[in-house]
Amino acid sequence: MEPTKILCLWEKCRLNDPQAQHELYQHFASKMYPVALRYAQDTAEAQDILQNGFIKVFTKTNYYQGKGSLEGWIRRVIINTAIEQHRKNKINFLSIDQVAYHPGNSCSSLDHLDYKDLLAIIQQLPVGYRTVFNLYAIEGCGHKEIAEMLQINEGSSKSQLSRARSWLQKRIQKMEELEL
Amino acid sequence: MKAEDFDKQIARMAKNHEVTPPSMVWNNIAQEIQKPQQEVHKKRFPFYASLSIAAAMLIFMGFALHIFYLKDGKKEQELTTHNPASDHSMESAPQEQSLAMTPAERELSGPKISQQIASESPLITAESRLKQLDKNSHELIAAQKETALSMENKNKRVKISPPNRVFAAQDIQLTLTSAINHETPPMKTGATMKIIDANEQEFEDRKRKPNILVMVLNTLTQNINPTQKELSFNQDEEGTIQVDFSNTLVKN
Repeated sequence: MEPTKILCLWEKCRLNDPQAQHELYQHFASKMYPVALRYAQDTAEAQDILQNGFIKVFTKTNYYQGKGSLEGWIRRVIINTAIEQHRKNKINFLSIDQVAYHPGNSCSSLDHLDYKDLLAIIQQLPVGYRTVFNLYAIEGCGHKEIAEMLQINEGSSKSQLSRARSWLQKRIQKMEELEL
Repeated sequence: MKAEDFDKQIARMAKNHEVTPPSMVWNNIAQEIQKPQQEVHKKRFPFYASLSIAAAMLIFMGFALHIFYLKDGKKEQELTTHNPASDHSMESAPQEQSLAMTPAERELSGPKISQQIASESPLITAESRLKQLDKNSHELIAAQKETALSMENKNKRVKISPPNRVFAAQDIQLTLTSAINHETPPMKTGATMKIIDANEQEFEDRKRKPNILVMVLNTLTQNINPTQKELSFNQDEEGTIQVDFSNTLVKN
């Protein structure tokens, strides 16, 4: 869809036009659902995140002031919704000692891994690791930003990221061994 | 593989991927979006209704308070308007007595000290009150001694009217304690006769007016046994009730 048409739809969404809202949802839902899946533990949780995120998008249209892309803003809304949901479920992002840390594990190529497998491994990560890894590795956020978002120390963000990496590499290695 | 390369590889795999969510998600979203608008329409009435209820309650409370205070005000007014009248009536009765009193007693027989202090200056301290009480006690002692002297001189049975007619109980207590601590002032002998006359008159009045209790007792005995008047009740000068058995004894 062309950017001008997206903006036109957005203007209609601001006026609570149901048709425009549906069209906008159809356009972005398939892009945002994988984001929700990465932050969630299962599909049900991901659907909840997507639903609540889009409700926020359509009810708080005034928060988007035209700075940056609309897709980026919607993505950020979905991520924030996921973090908020974890907080509501009283999940502590500082759960460092949940998984044993084994640094220095190297991993071969990820070429043999398909998206479904990768998503399954990510979803198996503990909540704190998963959130930090998603924010840093996929969304490209800095540790400072992550620390602010999750209300944790910058140091704990770094340590959680390294532990998440090690955990993922270990899992991928295991999968490789099983396939062989 | 380096950590950074690992991150990049995963990001590349994850980013360029699209998954269509189930249709039920949109249905839920559509329902939720339409809800707030319906709720706004629903909530309008309760909002105004609650406001109006609150306002009505406030007005009602205001009226209730107003009426309550109005009643209280009326009561206070009644009390303030009635009190002077009652005081006047109380004062007008012993006018004859006050004529016979010494200036010191006349001063004492006026309004109570506590009332006097309250009416004269509301900011009178406890110290000044005590001084006033001491002064009054001296005067009272002097008056009592005067009457005692005159009684001795005349050799008559004269009863001094109890001081509680003039003072409140607490005032008397204070005066008595202060009287013990202070020296007795020089005695005055003037105008004592007037006081005695007044007291005599009072006792005579008492004699004339039979006690209500005596009257009641007499009527009761008469009703019980109307033909035989064996029992009769009397009141002596001091006010003690006497039972008269003389008739029964005579009969026996």
